[in-house]
Amino acid sequence: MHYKMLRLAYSMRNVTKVARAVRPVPAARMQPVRFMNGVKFYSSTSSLTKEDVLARSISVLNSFELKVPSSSIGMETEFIKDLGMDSLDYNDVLVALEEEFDVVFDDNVANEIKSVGECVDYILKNYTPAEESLDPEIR
Amino acid sequence: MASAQEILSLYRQFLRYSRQFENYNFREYFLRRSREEFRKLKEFDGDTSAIIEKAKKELGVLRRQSKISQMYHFDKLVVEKVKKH
Amino acid sequence: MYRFRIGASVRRFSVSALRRTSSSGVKQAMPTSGAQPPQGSSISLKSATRDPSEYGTRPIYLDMQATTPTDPRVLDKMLEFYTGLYGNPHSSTHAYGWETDKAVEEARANVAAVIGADPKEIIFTSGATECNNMALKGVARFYGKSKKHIITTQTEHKCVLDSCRHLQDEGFEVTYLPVNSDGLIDLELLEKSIRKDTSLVSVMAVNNEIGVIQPLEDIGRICRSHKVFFHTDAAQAYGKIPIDVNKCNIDLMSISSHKIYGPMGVGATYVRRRPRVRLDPIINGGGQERGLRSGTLAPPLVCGFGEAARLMLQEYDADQAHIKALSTKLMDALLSMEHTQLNGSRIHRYPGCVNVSFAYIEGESLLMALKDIALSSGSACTSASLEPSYVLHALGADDALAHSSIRFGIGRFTTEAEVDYVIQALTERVKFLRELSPLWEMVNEGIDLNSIEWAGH
Repeated sequence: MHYKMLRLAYSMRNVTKVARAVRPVPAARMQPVRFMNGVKFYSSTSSLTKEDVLARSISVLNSFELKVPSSSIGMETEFIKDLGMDSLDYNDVLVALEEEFDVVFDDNVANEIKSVGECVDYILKNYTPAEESLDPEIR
Repeated sequence: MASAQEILSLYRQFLRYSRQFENYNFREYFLRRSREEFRKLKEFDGDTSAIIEKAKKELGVLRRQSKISQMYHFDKLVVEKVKKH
Repeated sequence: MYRFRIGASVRRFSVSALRRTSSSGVKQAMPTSGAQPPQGSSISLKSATRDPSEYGTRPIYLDMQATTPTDPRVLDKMLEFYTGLYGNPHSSTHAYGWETDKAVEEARANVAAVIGADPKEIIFTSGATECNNMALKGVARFYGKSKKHIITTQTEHKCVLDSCRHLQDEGFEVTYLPVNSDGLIDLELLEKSIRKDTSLVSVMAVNNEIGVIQPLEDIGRICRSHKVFFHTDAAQAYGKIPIDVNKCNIDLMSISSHKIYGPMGVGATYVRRRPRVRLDPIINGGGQERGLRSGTLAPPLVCGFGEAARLMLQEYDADQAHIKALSTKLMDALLSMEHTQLNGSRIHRYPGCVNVSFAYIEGESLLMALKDIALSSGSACTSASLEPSYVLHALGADDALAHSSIRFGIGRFTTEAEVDYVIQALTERVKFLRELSPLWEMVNEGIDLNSIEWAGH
């Protein structure tokens, strides 16, 4: 129970952060909104930005052993050609990205993906804000 | 003979279920072993169908057990970051 | 010459120092380092490199000789028998019995395969303690009319030693072989100790405290040539080191399930069929398990055990490589600290058990300062008492060294991050505890500790 609450609180915090990145909300308007309402309010209009997804994708990539500095990674970067990965390596990355964004790469998509940008686009298209999906505890 | 794409699809599923273990030691173990085994499989030169069949059975075990692991929560270990969604 | 009333007070000093500081500290909200340094002290047990609030609080498990976590693949097998396959394996009149019987026999084959045995030679029991009792008392009593002597070693597990003690009460004679400073028995002495009326030699395969591997093949050869039965307690060895019962001429072997990532409450005795080993069963009844161990088998436990055994074979290479690498890393780091020593043979050892002495520190206080790591100073049965380990004593270690030893158990599920954490924690806290130790102070002043006249111990 306690754990569930923690998880919920954490995902809410995330949503708020994301929402801020989308469009800065005047502090005065944020103040009176109650916690639960706040989530509802922002989620209905917010989605991830490309910049945000890319930044988080790069930090996911950073948890792997990279042969290039992460600062050189961009939308055009290709896993095999630029990062020197093999098919197992970048499929590992794909699954890590799935966990980070709570998406699943379809088999036919995953088999075709070559670049970081293709991942980012797919994530943007398939991302569902956490609170609109079922509670992770009962999913 | 399984195609390279089938094997990669299987690999992703192994990693997905491994990552879903709530227990740190089991999660790390199955990630490590999945990586090791698929790397061996990639270099394996010959008929892979028996190996793939066995892997599919093991995947069923992972799928069930990762779910069970999610049903029981214990404190995080001192080497484990508390965050996680 | 120094006169120094010390002994027990050394221990009390360091322990109470820790207690005092932990109660006056900033609340015990930091289980990451159970002990707090005195206020105003420049020594900090908190790691400067990380923020404890970002991490969990549950200790790292490094006590694999006590028990191992149940492998999820084992649990998956067991759940079949708790959800649908609930027949009594001994019910021969219906399908429910047949299906569990088939599963039990598969488990038996898996258990046998690890040691190159025939499945018919595997007798399921409740665990290695029962196995040891069964083998020692069973063989001794069956052949007791003509043979009154058994041989074992001083470093055996408590349940072997205690069974021997009981046999002595029944009129048997027992020879307890000593071990050398490496923990190994002397083969010549073993051979000389065998008498006309010796029925059994019992020598453990891997020691539970120091991980030393006895020369099973040599012992087996000696026993066979003198027509004496050879029993080995392989609770810590089964599946972890290669053992072939035929190559080693082993007649009886004790096996435990929960030391190989299987469920607790089940084990097996290997009982050779050719040449046949006969024994007096301890548990009588319906004649299950070749009449050697009556009672309904527990299919969930037995089949979980069987799956664990199968995995020990399947994962053997991967486990060995992983455990060896982590063990080497841990051992190198701990032994590079000054005044530390490895207990037991460096060569003949199972790498998953590392026993190290930290001189000038009391083991119990070190364990208290390592609340974030689940460790033991010896076997689980003896660690409740403050008595120093009889195994280390048998190796010739003095009280102080035996008191300052800690056992690290590494297994399939141990991670490199955990070992790194343990190395750092040990390095920091051994230093801290030595700062508190009067002995350490004297050593640093160049006083020969052997010149001290000890009193009051």
